[in-house]
Formats: sequence, structure tokens, C-alpha cells
Amino acid sequence: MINKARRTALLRVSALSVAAAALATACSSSSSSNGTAGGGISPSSASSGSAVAASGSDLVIGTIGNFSGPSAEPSHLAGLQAWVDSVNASGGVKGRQIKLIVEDDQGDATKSQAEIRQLVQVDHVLAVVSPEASATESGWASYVEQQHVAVVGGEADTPEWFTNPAFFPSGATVLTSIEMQAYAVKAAGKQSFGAVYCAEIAACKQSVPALAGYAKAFHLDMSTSAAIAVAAPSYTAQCLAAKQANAQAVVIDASFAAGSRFAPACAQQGYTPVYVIPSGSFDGRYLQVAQVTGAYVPTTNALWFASTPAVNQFKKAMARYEPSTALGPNPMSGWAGGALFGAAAASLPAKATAADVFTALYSLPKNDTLDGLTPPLNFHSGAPASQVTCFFIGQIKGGSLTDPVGTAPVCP
Amino acid sequence: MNSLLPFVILGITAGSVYGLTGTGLVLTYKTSGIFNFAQGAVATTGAYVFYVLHDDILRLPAVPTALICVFVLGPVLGLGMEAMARRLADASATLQVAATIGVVLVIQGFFSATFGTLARTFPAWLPQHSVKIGGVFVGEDQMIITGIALAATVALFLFFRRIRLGLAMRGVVDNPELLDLDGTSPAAVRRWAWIIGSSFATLAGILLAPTLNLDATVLTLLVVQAFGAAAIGLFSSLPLTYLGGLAIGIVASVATKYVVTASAALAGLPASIPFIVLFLVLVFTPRSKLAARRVPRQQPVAGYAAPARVQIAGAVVLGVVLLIVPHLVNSAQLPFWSDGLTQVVLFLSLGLLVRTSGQVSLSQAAFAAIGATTMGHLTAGFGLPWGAALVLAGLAAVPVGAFLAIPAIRLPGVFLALATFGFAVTMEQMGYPLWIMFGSSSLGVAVNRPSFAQGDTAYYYLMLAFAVVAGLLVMWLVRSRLGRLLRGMADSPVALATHGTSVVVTRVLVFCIAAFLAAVSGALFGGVVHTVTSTDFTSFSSLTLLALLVIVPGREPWYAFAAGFALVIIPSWISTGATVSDWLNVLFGVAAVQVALGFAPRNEKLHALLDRLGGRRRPAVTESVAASRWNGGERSGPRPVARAEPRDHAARGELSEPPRPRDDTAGTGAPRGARGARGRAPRASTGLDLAHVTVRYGGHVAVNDVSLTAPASTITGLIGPNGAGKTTLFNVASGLVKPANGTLRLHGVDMSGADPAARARRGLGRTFQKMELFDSLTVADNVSLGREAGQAGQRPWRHVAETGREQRSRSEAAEQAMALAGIAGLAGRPVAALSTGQRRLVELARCLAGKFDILLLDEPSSGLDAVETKRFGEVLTRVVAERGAGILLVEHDMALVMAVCDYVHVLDFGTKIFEGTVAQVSSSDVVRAAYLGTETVSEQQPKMAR
Repeated sequence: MINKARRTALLRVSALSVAAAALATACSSSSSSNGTAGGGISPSSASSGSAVAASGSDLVIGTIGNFSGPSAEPSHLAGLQAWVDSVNASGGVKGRQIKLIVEDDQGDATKSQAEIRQLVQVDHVLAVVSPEASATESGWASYVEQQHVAVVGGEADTPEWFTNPAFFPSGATVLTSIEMQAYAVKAAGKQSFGAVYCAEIAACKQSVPALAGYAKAFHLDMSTSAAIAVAAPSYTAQCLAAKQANAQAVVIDASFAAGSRFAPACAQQGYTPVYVIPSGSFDGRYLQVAQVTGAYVPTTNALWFASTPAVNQFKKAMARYEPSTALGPNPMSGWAGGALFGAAAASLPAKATAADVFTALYSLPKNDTLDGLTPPLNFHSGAPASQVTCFFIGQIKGGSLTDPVGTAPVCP
Repeated sequence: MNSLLPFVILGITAGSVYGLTGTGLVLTYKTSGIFNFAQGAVATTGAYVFYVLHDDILRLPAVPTALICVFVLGPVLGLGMEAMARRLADASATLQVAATIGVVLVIQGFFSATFGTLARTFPAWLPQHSVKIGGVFVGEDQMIITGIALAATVALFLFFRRIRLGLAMRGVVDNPELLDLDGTSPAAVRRWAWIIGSSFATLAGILLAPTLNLDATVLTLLVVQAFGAAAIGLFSSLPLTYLGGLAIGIVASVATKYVVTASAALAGLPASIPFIVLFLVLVFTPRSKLAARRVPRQQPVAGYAAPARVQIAGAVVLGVVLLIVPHLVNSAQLPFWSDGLTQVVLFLSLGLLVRTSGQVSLSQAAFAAIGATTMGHLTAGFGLPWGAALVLAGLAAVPVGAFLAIPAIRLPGVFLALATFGFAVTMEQMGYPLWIMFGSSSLGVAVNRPSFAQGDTAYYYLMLAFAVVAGLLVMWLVRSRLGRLLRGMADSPVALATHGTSVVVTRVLVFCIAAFLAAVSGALFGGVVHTVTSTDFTSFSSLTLLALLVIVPGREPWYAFAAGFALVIIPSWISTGATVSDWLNVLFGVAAVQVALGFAPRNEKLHALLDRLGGRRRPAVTESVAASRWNGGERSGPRPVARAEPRDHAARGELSEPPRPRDDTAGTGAPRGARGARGRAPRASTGLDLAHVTVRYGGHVAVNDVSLTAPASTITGLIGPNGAGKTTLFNVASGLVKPANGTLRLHGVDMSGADPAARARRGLGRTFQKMELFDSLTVADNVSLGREAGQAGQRPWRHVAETGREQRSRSEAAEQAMALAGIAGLAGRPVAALSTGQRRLVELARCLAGKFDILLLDEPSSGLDAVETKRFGEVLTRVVAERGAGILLVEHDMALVMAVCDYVHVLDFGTKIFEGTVAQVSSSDVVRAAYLGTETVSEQQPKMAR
């Protein structure tokens, strides 16, 4: 995992490169003549010499999230950053560079309040893109709605994403992210399963009743559930209990620190269920954990290891601009949020305001998947985004990842 | 049963780790009296150093690295902790807890900042094969850990029993000077104890790190679970601690089996079991078994308070600044200021407990959580009006506060801190996920703002108003009767109880008030952030709150503003870096340790300046004592021995002649007042009557079937050699010791079952052999509290405020008592600055101020010179003459006894050997033999003198 010092340095470098790129573009006479870096970013960027490009006004966006506090997830940011860098390197969106302002709230509620106001009232961002703030966003969701600033893409972990008109998800929304876990058990061909979830955050436990509901809907039997605490010295008790409950599959809804100890503990007892590791809990290091081989990995965005053109673009950009961040569902999600913004930004007027972003998002085509990066998305004026009910399924096999049901979204 | 066996076996392996860490903890507690909250932090250090040496920098092989960690790093850390413990030996419980918490903050902050918060993989360095035992596969590493823990505990147990150094360790706490005389250096013994304890912790760290991976918080938290094991061992028995650890591990493991099939509501139970055990043990263990290992010799001294003028000026300045904050700062910064103001309220609530009444509570965050979630459910959920919801949210925490007062009533200092901490963690793991708290939705709980303060600026002003109101409320409380009672209770709960206050009521009251305030602060905080989650109220944050509270200077409400500022506002100014909050924790930890050890700056010049500005003139002698613990951490010096001053009392004008009694008849009547005919034992029609009292301590009989009477209007003497049981008898009479047998009657009423406060309210007053003064108060306050304690009594509302009439009668009684005792000239002096003799007189005056008609005086003249003693005797006779009081006097000064007593009882080895008039006693052979030995020896004496 990328360490903090390095990441700060990278952020600085990225910011500098954005600035340098902006400078370069401003100085250059023509706009994106060889602009297109791929289909997913900006379909109309291929058209050169647009009158809009010459205005040179940056598109200022912000992002906010827990990038360095306890239970931090900096890899979302890496994905977004890579998107910004690659877009800017190829001339920006319709010739306009993206300026990304990063606010790290470290999961602190008060800090989050202060920083969202900084972004909206002081920095006047056009949109908040790919926030990674599921712990804190409920606190400012109504604020951004009142201020009419769109929150675009990224981790859609809270119900705000389909109840608040200012939120525009770019991946499966939270209930679907639970449904996909049950679906994965079915895809694995198992009948009864259990779930282990993190003990530290109340939210982890909340998913259990919903999961049980989906299990019933898919005619599965959820026979057991247990909390696994990161600080517990051993999980063998939970393994034995699951074994005694005849769970053929086990959903791991906990951090890698806990999950990576859980599987070996169970294997030690001769219990080897099929694991389901949803994208929210996934960590690239699982590929080195031999005991989870065969695990299903349902994801809220496109499979980050696929070979579709859009994903290839993602992989290239990550390798170029964020090489120290391992590929995974989190950078994919951050990238997809950026891509969604980029798709909307292509139709922004010259002097764009935050309200224009809303209009632009509504004008995206129906069931848009941004060239295969996202499940089908639909945004309607006058209503919150509807739930995104499709997802993707990956699998760990022998230390690498495959797509057992193809790379297209699954819509049960 | 068969399906249970695997869980039992698993529990043994986990439990042996708890046992190992708990054993080291108990060892250091037994020998130094300091409970090391930082035991987990030591384990963390060991794990990180192992990682650095083995994996990161030097890449040494595993076993040598482990040996280096345990046998080099462990001792080094142990010596450091011992140095700290030595300086803490006399400190109050608050400082002791703050110091060890400071170490936790430093270590955790440092490692989080240096290594990041993402857990690092720790390499497995023990063999990984599995063996099947009883239906479950057990890893060899687990068996090795179990074996090491068992071996270490057994070795330590034998060490304590057999090896001289071990025996010395047991003696070093009880009487280090004696140990020193015996040729064993107490310092060396303590060092060995800490070395062993720290090495155990380091060992636990490197054994556990492979399973847990490297995470500063996790390791510290794990060792905290060992507190439960230590509790089962009653913090003194090593084998019991180890077995307790096993028991906890087994119960937690078995619980996991049942929890997975039961509802998810109990999911947090297995992880909470160590803390539930800790709490239950602390609450239900008989008090005698949990006696504190050392009694702090230093009592907390109140902080410096600037003159009123200066405080008002400061308040105006602060008020103006806070009022214009919304115009001074960026609108994006306003949430920090609002948050800071809610924390001011939280610190005020904690300060009531910690600073005013000396009770360490580590669960304030839990109260705040209750308030916040209740507020959220009531406003956003039920749509109640904001004001009503706020009040209800505050009240919701009151029963919980009362519940926490239960351990407070039973437990001294550190144990209370432990109990509240155990409670806080249990709340976090089992209470927070409940639907009435945070569990109702995965978002957290939405909290509404009032309709008149929806915007950020409006809400900020509302927070400011609440902070001001809370500050004024707490200031009023501290200056009210409740504040006086709390300060008295902080200094000497025994004295307060024996003067008539039901200390139980006081404690429950203060916990309820503190809980209410903390809950209100949580509810207000919820409005700042709109949605609260469980991570906003972690149990760890309560540790930071305590550390900050100890660091900040000033009295209420200034310390709360300073602490709120330091906690929230200052960090918001430092540009966001990932490690800022970690380094701030390190800073707070270092500062807490400094303050607790007494190294903080004294600020004398600043105080002098403020005094000058405020126009306050302070007498020279009080300045040396004014520097106090809260004010920059200076503690009051050791109790002063009698100063070498001229004994010319008249010249000094301090000890004035007691005024002639206004009632002439008493003045001209018989000096000793009415009493029974001389030569016969006085009859117990009124007064104190003890019948057939027997007291046993274990197998030893301290008092053996003693009956005596102390009638009204009489001075009865109780004499006997040291250890005869006189003070024990007094303690039985006061209700502080429960006799195996015997009854007590006060004025004919059987009070055998009454608590000390009830007896006091019935008229029984006493002084103490080891003086129990309220050291942080002045003479006048001490004496006045002697009366006020009885006024407060039992009823909660009388604890809070007094009527005008009560205040008048109180000050009158205090004046008269001080005049009677001849210390009117000392009224404004802090008692800690007085000589022993003067302190005895203060204690007497305090007793005289109360509405007591039976006075038990325990060696009241020790420390007085001849002149003072004679005067003292006159005071006693006057008291009897004027009030008709009965006095039971324990004395070694025979001249005084002869001069004032009407009747004397003589005790020896717990039995009454003689009773009679003074003349009869002085001519009794039995008595002489008891004091001087048998007659044969005295016959031989003249030969040797030649």
C-alpha cells in the first residue's frame, strides 16, 4: 500500500503537473488536436479548434474524504487523481483543464463540515467528485443540496446517493452492494452461507438484516453471522461456529486486516467455504492469501482487471500517474466518478456554474455506462438519482482475477 | 458438550495472553501502587521495535531479535516507567492516571505518526504447524504462547514466595523505610519489579503481533483487555490473574459460539467480556479486598484563582472575541468554533468530577454519545421541539450517571478510573450498536438544529450562549454548598461522612449532574455536524479528555475554555497533514506526564502580576502554598512538620484566649459541669453507650468484648498502650468499622445499623488520630464545613443549596468554634500551611462547629506543646460546661487525662483491663503493668541504674 509520505509527495507532484499542464495548454495555440485518450472521457474532445477551448478557464472540482485518518482509503483518491492527470495531459475536457482541490477530513465530522464549506463557499467548486466520505457525508448532504452543488460519482455507500437530488452515483448504490453479495453466493452455486462483519463500526452490522432479506429473495439460507474485531487475538471460534452452522460460503464484510486472518484461521480448522469479498472490502493483497482462492468479488463498478478499452485506459493512466497505488475496485470507483463528471463537463457552457453541472448530468444519455466503466446510469431532473441496481462479478483464482460471468454488468 | 470443547480449548490460548499481560500489570501495581494504563503501549513498543529490527532496518533473525526486545528493551522501558512511578508515589489518583494515560498517548501517537495508520503485516516467527486437540486444530505458535505465559506466571509466583527479592517486593509498598533498614534498597526492588513487568508486556507484544499485525491502536486495546484478568486477581494475586485471564478467554470464546446463532444484538458481547468482568469485579468485590495499595499522602490543592477584577476583565475580553469570531474567521472555519464550544461544556462536566471532587471518570464520551443519539432520535425521529428534546437528551444520561456512581461510592481513585473505563468500552461495543443509540441506520443519527438557529452563524451564537450558561452554572455550583461538599469529599470523604453528610448522595448527585452536562454537550455537538456516528465518541477519546483536563491551567470555567480551544481550535489552524492529530496526541501526552510528575512551570510571576492588577494583597506565607497542582502542576509540598517558630503564642497573637462564655451560670458553676457522683461508673442515660463490642481482622482480635459509656456532660478518658484498639473502637462507634459483635446506643437509641453520616446527624462528632482535614481549604472553610456537612445531610436538594438561615447559623457556629478553640486569628490561612498543633485545633474546631453533643477525640493533643495542651484542656472543659456535651477522649498525654477526665477506661490488647476515676487509675497496678511492664522488671530497674 502506498505510504503517506509518498502519497503527499505524489499529490504535490500531481498538483504541480496539473498546473504545468494547464500552463502548457494555455500557452499552446491550438487545443486538443490529438486529444482523445479513449472513448470514456469525452466523446467530443476529438473535435479540435473549438471556440470554447480558447477561454482557458479551468474546471475547478473538489473532492473530500478520509484519506489519511483511521480506516483511511486513499486509493479512491488515486483513481480520481489519475483521471484528472490523464485528462489534463491530453488537453483537458473540451480544452479546459481540470483543477482538483483535495480536502482530507480524516473521517472527522467537524473537519468534514468545515472542508465542504471551504470547497463550496471559498473555492467555488463546480462539483464534488468521487468523495470518499461515507462516514461523514450524511452530515453535509443537505448542505450541498441547499447550495445546489452536485456530488458526482465515487463510493455510493450511503442512502444519500439515491435519496438526495444533489447526489449522482457512478456505481451500484448501497442496497445493491449488499444484494450483490447474496447474488455472488448464488453465482458460486452455494445454498447456505454466513457473513462475518467488522466489529468496530455500527454500520457494518447494519448490512446483516438487509443481506438476510436478499438471501431470502434468492432462495438462499443465511445460517450464521458473526462480528470479527481487528483486535481479537483469534477468529477460530467464529470459524468453528460457521462450520457448525454448515455455511458453504462466507461473505467477508470487514477490513483486510481482519479478513486476511479469518480465512487462514478457518483453513486451519479444515473449513474452506467459498468466500465472497465485496468490492468495498476488497484489497489487492488478498491475491496472496492462498486460502481465499476461488472467492467471488462482486463490484460496484467495472472489473478493474478487464481488457475493455475503457478499463485499459484506466490501467494505463494508473500505471503512468499513480504507479504506487495497486489497481483495485477503489481506484476504479474514483476514476469512474471522474469519468462521469468528465462526461457531463463536455456540455458545460463557457462560464459554468455549479448549477450547470446538474443540467449537464441530466442531459447524459439514458442507461449510460460511460463505455463500460459503470452500470447503467439514469439521472432525471426533479428527482434524486434512482438506485443503480446493476453490478459486476469477479473472481480470485490461483492468485489472479477473472470474470466468471463476463465483463458486462449483471442486472438481476 | 462435545461441540463446546473446541471453544474451550481456543479460549485457553487467547486467555493465556490476557493472563500474561495481566500478570505483568499486577506485578507493577503490587510493588509500586501505580496502575499502569500504559501496559499496552509498552507491548506496542515491543512489537514495533521487533518489526524494525527484524523486518525493516536490520533484518536480524527472529529469535535474537525477540531476546533483545524482551531482555534489553523491556528493562529499559521498565526503568523509565519506574522513574516515573517513583515521582508519582505520593500523587493523587488523578495525576497517577493522567501520567500513565499520557504515556499511552505519546506512544500511540508516535507510532501512528511514524508508521501510519494502516496495519502492517507482521511476519510470523513462531512455528505454524497445527496439532489436533479435542476436535480443533491448535497452532504450535498458540501452544508456545500458552506455554510461555504459564511458565512465566509460575516462575513469578515462586519468585514472590521463595526468593528474597520477591519477598522484598511485597514489603516495599507497605513500608519502604523498614525495608531499607533491613539492608534491601527499596529503589532497587521497585526497579526490578518494573523491569519484570515491562519485559512481560514486551513479550506479550511480540507474541501477539504476528496474529494481530502491526497496529498501534489494536495492540494497546488488546492489552487493555488484560485489565479484566487483573481484576479477577483482585490486583494482587498472580495465579488468580492468570486463571482469570484464562476464564475470560474461555467465556468470550464460548460466547462467540452462541452469539453467531442468536440475534446480532449480542454481537459485541464476546469482545466486551473482559470489560464487563472488570466492571462487575470492581463493583461487587468487598471493599476490604480492594484496598488501595498506597494512600496518596498528597492531597490535591485547588488551582490558582485570579482576583475577581481580573477574571471579570478576562471574561469580557473573551466574550468580545468569541462574539466577533464569525466576522473574524473564514466561514468554513466556523464549524470548528461551534464544536470547540460544545467541548467546553463537556470539559466543564468532566471538571466537576475530576477537578472539583477528585473522581477520575473515563467515560464522558459515552454520556455525550447518549445525549447526541437521544437528541437525534427525538428531533429528527419524533419531531419534538428542540428545547424539550435537549432537556430530555440531557436527562437520558442521568440514570447512567447514577449507575456509574455505584463504583464511585465503593472504589478509591484508580479503581474508579478503571471501572469507568471498562464501562465506556462496554458501552462502545455493546451499547452504541443498539437501535436506541447509533444502530438504527448505517448513516449514523441525524440531529436537527432548532428552527431559530439553522444557519451556521446562528448556531454558533447558540453554542456560545450555551457555553457561557454552562460556565456560569458550574461556577455557581462550585461556589455553592455542593461545591464545598465536593471539595471536602475530594480531600477526605471520611471526614465529611463523620460530620453528617451522606457521601453516597453527594457522589450520585455529582455524577448525575456531570452526566447531564456531558449529554447536553453531545446533543449540541450533534447539531454542529448534523449526523453523529459512533466514531465521534470513541472510548479512547475519553483518555484524551482527561489528559487535556489535567494540563490546562486555571479554575472553572477557564480551564474548560482552554481545553476546548486546545482540543479543537488549535488543531484546525495547523494545515492538514495526515500526522498532525497524531503529533498533537504526543504533545498532549508529554504535557500530561510533565504536569503529573510536577515538572510544569510554576507561573509564580504571572500570578503575582495578576494579583497586582487585581488589587489583591496576599500574605507572604500563603504564596508558597498557592502554587498548586492545577496551576502548572506544582503539587503542595509534603505536609509541613511543626515549624521551628517561637512558641510565644501571645506575642504572635494567633492563639487568642477563648472568649468568656456569655452564660454566667456556666462560668461560675463547677468547672466540669454536672456529672454522676465521683467514684462510681456513670450511668448511660444519655450519651454514648458501647456494649460488648468485638472486632476481628482476619484471625486477629482487635477489640475483645469491650463495653463502655461516655455520658453527656462528662469527659471520659480512654487510654492504653499503642495498638490497644482504641482507634478501632472509635471507628466502630463512628460506623467506619463493622464489629463482629456489639451494639451502639446514642442517647438511648440503638444506632448499630446506622451509617457514619446518620450517627453524625444524631450528634456524634469525632476527630481522627491521623488527621482528616480538608487540606485544600482554609481554616474557616474547614470549620464551617463541619457544620454544613450536617446541614447537607441526606436529602439531595439540601446538598446543592442552602437557605439564608442555614448560612447564618453556619458562619456563626464556625466563628464561635474557632474562637473557642483559639484559632480565630488563623481563619483565612490554608490548613496545609499550618503546624501540626494548629491543625489539631482546626480539627477540634471543626468538630465543635457541628451540632454534636458526643465528641470522640482521638489523640487531639499530639503535636501540641505544654502551653497549648493546657489551653486545650480548658477548651474541653468549657465545651462540656457550656453545651453539656459528652466527650470520649483517647490520649497518651497523662497530664491532660488527669486534668480533665472524670472517668477513665483502660484498654490493652483489645480488652478493657480497668476502669475508674482518675485517682483510681493512677494508683492501679494493673494499669501500670500494662504501660510499664510487669512488677518484677520494675524491681530490677534500680539495680541497673547504679
